[in-house]
Amino acid sequence: MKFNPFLFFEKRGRLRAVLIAFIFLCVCLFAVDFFGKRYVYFEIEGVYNFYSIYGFIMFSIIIFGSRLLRFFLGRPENFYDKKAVDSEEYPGLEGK
Amino acid sequence: MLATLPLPFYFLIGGLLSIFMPKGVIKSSFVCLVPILAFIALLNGTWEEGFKVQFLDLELNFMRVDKLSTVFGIIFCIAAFLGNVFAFHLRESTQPFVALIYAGAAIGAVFAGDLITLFVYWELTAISSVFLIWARKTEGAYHSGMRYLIIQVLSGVVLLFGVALFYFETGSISFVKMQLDSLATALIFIAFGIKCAFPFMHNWLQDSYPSATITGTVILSAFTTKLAVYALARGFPGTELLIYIGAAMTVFPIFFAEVENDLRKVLAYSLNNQLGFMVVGIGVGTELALNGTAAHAFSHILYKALLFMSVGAVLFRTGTSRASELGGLYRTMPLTAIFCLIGAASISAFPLFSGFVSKSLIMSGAGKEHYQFIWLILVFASAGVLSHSGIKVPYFTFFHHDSGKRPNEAPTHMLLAMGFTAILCIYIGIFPNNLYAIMPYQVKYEPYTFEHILTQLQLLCFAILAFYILSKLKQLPSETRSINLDFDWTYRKLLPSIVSKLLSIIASIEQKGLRGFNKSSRLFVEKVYQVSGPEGFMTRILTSGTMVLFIAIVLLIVLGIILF
Repeated sequence: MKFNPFLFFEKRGRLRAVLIAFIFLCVCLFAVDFFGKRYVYFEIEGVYNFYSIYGFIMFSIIIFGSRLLRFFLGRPENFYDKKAVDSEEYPGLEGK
Repeated sequence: MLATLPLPFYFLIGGLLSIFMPKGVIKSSFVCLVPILAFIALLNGTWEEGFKVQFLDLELNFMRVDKLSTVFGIIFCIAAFLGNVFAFHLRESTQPFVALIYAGAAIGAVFAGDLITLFVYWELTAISSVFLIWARKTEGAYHSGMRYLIIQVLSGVVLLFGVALFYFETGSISFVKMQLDSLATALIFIAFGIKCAFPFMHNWLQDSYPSATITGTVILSAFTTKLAVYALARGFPGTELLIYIGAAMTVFPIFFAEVENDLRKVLAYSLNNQLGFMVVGIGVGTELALNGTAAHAFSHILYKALLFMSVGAVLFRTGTSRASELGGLYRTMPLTAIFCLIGAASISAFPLFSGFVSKSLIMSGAGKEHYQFIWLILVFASAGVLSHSGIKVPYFTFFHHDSGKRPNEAPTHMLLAMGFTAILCIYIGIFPNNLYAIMPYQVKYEPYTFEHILTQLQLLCFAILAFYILSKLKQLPSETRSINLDFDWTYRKLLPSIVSKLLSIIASIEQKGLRGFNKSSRLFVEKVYQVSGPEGFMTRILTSGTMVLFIAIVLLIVLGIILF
């Protein structure tokens, strides 16, 4: 059998265990901020759990912002040309 | 002799020799060997005095070797080697030849000690690399390549104009630090900016890289833009304008990358975003920040090549790089998936991966110089990098829903190229001091502090948490076959439509004018015809008797006037 570590996670419950472990990690990272103040370049860095909150909010802004961008700027693949690279299949399919 | 031969000549001579080699293993091995030889030559070369040539009354220097140029020289040699290993399967003459010439030109530009030599190699990178796009051999790629070539050559022309003015102003062609205070340096700055994909000059990158061949994109991703980063670091360190330009570059591509369907275009936007970090570092201009730029360029070339390789391997096996048509490939391409994840972790700057030890130099550089707003933008952009390159590319390719595709694992040579690149990404991440040792200035920085690891993990893990929650709420942008308008719309749609409107207006004016002219000229001809035609007054044929009578009347009138 070929080497494939990802198949390990296909068994029932294992992916869920990874997810729970990840959420536990997040809780720990959040909790660590209780203990002491870190060295900061700027005052805002010293706000409680600045990085956690900033990361969460900014990621969400990126997702919703990009959806907005697609709403205004999204176009079909052949918008520029029927033969533009955007809409063509890769020629040759050498390794398929 | 070999110890003093300019480094680009290894590539240029190697490229020419490759033409005469039989297609196959011999040619492919040879083009992999050339960067190794050049790399050895770089480590052992003796160019303390440079390699100077007299041209007219100008002194050109082909080999200005110092710490800054050496960093870029080393990574360009490594990138050329990795790219050629990845392209080992090619059985043609053009791409292996062009790959060597292109790499040689980029290395030549990096070691150029004067602006004339820089210009020559600057243009050679453009002219050689376009063949990596045209090698796709489709109509779309041809047009894309033409746009690429026009913009790249334009950059060269602007550079030449700037260099000429600079020479007239200063009497020097030395490529040294410049001040952005004259038309000459402004033109040179713009030329660098075009190649560096500054905002509004950036679309050649997202247009051309996904249009190139599978192997061509890997090679393209390493050289042109990093050459521009080097040129800016050499010519304009500490130029504050670059901080704001770089910050803009880190932000806007994030949103485009998030909704692009073609994963190679996603990576092209991501590349643009990473360039932004480097440009900010140049703008800050302190030793720490400039080290950050050089270190980030070094690690960026590796992890970006790794990501382009993994998506390229998928394209090679499945025939597509569209996120909407991929998914679940971890089942049959596990090694490629692992390499892609290593590239994703590196670009996202997870601890123990290369991005972590290089990007933090730039962030600290901005922080220490009290650029708070810029620093906040860079932290935001770090979350953005994670969103498209860290999560989107591996997730939609190898996981997510099952596309039903069961391609074979990537060929051995591609796995080797990816494996070697992945090892370098991890090696740099674990042993950053080896990278720091070759930086332009002495590095006094410790990336693995408790605070740094903690804050970076907080940022990344909570961004991933946001991804998970939004995914469960079905709020992520759907993967659909579509494109998004960017600034290239202005010259691909708006400008052609304005020109065609103008032409039609001119044509209609011409038509109307012509019709009016025709009418009036016809009337004129008719009048002339009436007067002078066969039936006209002037050309009437009169009898001799009538004429005699006419003359007699005229004489009588004259006589009458005389007498009275």
